[in-house]
Amino acid sequence: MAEPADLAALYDAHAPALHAYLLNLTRSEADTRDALQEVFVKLARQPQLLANVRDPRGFLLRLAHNLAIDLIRRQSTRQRRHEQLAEESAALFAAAGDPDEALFRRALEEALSELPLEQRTVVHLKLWEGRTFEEIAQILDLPPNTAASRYRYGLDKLRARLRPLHDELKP
Amino acid sequence: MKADDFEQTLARQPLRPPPAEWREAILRAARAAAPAENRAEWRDTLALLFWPSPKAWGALAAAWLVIIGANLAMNSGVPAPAPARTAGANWREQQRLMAELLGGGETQSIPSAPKPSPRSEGPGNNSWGIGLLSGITGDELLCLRSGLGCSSALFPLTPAISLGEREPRSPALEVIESPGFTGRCQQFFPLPKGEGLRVRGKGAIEYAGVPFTGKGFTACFCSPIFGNNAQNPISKSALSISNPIYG
Repeated sequence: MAEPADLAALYDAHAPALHAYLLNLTRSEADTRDALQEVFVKLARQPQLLANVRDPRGFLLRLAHNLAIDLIRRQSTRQRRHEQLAEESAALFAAAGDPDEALFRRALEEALSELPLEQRTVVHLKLWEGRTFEEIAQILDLPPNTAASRYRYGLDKLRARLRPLHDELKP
Repeated sequence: MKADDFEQTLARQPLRPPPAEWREAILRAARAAAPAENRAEWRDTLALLFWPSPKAWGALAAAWLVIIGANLAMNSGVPAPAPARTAGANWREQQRLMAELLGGGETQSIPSAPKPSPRSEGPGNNSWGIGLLSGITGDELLCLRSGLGCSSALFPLTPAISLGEREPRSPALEVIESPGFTGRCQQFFPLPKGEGLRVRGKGAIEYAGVPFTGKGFTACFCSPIFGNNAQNPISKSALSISNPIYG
């Protein structure tokens, strides 16, 4: 049973990763918060969800992914367009003191936002969660080869977009 | 697949953590949406309370069940209590006591002034229903409906003194005792000019010429129709003439 202390510990341990993943997925601060809150509400209502889970982070990422997809599908096209205008300030990466780093991060955010959702999720899980393709396949309920191909396509797009800037900023 | 330099550069970019104010709000919402947690806490509290001596609590529950069963069995063997006295029985008892107080064998009913009450409680309304519910017989109910000689007021069942020890009798009882009292009509208004009829004493002489017996009441039964001279020798004109008060 998830006691309040357990919920707080779960939040401290997994909320940053879930927040970044949801923010990369939804590109909206409000949707990210709604989905993140729904994850922990679900955990509080069904404490047995994590009872026999060997990989809590992977389970929570899958739960967050499903909730975010449901949230995106529920929203109308008009509402999505309206939120897309306001989500420009939703920074995915931490603020950088170095102007070159800040420039690269801003360019990376834009490049990620241009990726299709399927490729973006795989790229995020591979690069910033350090997951293998097997784990990504389990989280996203995909064949491992599909996950690997999506990652390859997504990374190629990022490289094509950011390679000049990356080589320019490279010391 | 070995990550190249570009992948490592991307992976090194730090992700922004969630705003600090989200933590409490999200955790509060999660705790508020967990009713099952409260039920579990209540269940744990009960378990904590009863667990130290479950056999003692079970024995106590069994003892209570035995007591309740024995109580029910004893109640089922006892005959039902006698039904409460109905209004009809009370009325008959009042009649008997009234006859005893009056000292004669007559069981005439005493006309009593109607008790002021709402119209809905009058004898014409719901009297049959009251009779059926309270056990009043048909004759008693007719008596009640006629408005003569019936009173719903309870008579004191335990007189303070015996018949021979009573104080001088009220002059009203002399009128009441006369035969056929209940069937006669009152000749005069009960309280003319604030004085009323005087049947004894100094002012009684004023009524010496009144040709009525019973001091203010007609000698025979009066009819509901006032001018029926065949049964009522006192006609309306005779009454108006012989009335010493309204002359």
